[in-house]
Amino acid sequence: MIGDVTTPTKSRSYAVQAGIALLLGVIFANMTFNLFGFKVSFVFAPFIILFLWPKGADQNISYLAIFLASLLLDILSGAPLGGWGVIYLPTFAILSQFSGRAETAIMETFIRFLLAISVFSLFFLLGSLTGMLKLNHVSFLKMISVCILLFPVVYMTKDKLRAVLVGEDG
Amino acid sequence: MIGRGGSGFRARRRNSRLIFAFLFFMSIVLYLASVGNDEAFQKSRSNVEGVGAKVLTYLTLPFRGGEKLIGDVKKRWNAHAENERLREDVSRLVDMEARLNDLNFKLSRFETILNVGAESDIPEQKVAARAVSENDGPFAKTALINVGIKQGVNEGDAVMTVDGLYGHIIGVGNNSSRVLKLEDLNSRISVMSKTNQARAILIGDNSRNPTLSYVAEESDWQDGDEVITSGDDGVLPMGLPIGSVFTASSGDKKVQLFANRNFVDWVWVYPYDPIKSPEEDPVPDPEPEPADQTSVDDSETAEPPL
Repeated sequence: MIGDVTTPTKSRSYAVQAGIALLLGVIFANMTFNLFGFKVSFVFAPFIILFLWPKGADQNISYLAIFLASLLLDILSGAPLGGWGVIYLPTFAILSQFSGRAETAIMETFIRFLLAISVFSLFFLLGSLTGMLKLNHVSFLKMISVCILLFPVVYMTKDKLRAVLVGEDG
Repeated sequence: MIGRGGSGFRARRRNSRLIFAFLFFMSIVLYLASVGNDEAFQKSRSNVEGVGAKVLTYLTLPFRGGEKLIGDVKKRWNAHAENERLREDVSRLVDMEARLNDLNFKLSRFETILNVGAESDIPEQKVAARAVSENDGPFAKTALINVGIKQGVNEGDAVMTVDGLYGHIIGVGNNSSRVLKLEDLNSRISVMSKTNQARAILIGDNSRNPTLSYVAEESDWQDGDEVITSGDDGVLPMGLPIGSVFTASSGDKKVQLFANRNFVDWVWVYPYDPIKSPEEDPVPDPEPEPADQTSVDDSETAEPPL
């Protein structure tokens, strides 16, 4: 959670921008890549977008965008409807309570990200323990590791990506 | 300016909490409804999937192009060695083709003599498709392909890569279909060993290598045995190559899938009509024979009873 806004118009605009980024994250999560002979899938890419969600973004629009993006992810990934929403909505609610400063060092942000993804993993482990989710733990660890490796790339390019998507002034 | 701590701020926060609670509740309701009765949402799902498949087809093109480029460089690097190997293969296969033709001829002669059909179950007609989205997520291991009912695809059809079986169709839309991969936890395929026809069920466990289960004690599965579909489930045709057996450190017999040898881009759907049970395909009742013309005439001409 970085960035800060003060006016309602900007607040809504930030929420919409983040929503568009989340939509791209959802599409990205449904692609599998062949990297140097290894099959890599960025299933948890949307989590990175949630972590980097602008601090002052309108909460109502943010929740709605996350709900709709989760539904799209359910459909594209073949998951039961509502499955990703059950995980991503509370994740965002928790993340929005622990927002960091706008400009922090990358290491500090990375450590916060590691803490956040650990909490996020607990939702899946909880689902696995209650029998709602059949989880292969080795495969799950791989997905989380790929997400952790992807985070610095997204973090360092996010401003450029935003400029490309919504312009410098966005 | 948004004043934190003001009544406006508190009202907005209360609103956002209400919206969160409502959407979270909706997600839970949808999840439970979807898990309980997936067919209720099937139509809307396949409509969105159809659009998604089209969008993803274009979005993945640059990535697939990049991967192909890297693959091509690798192939060119090994071109000379590969050429040599292919020459040897060609000379070997020419001899095998002659033997195959001879065996085919003998087989057809025996079929005629014995009056039995021993033709392969594997359908000759295939539908080519692109795996536009492959999801290896925690909920499901599925793929979306860009062909559907309009192209002759049906639920249950086998989906193959050039190397081996990839999965089977679990949902069909007009122009897109959902493939359940062999690795998925819900995947159950009836298989047999190509070497000794030992039977088993191949069960997905969300790992890269599914497990052989329900293996009979007397069956002799060995590491390196080639696994093919047995056709016993009456859903998939017999003889589709799947992978090779190895023993995992846990002692379980696992299968290394041929489909994972190369990156999956193009796939082939095998439309297959499974053998129907007598209840599903009953013999129609014989039509009543038309009434005899003479008897009608007789009754018409017969004298009325006294």
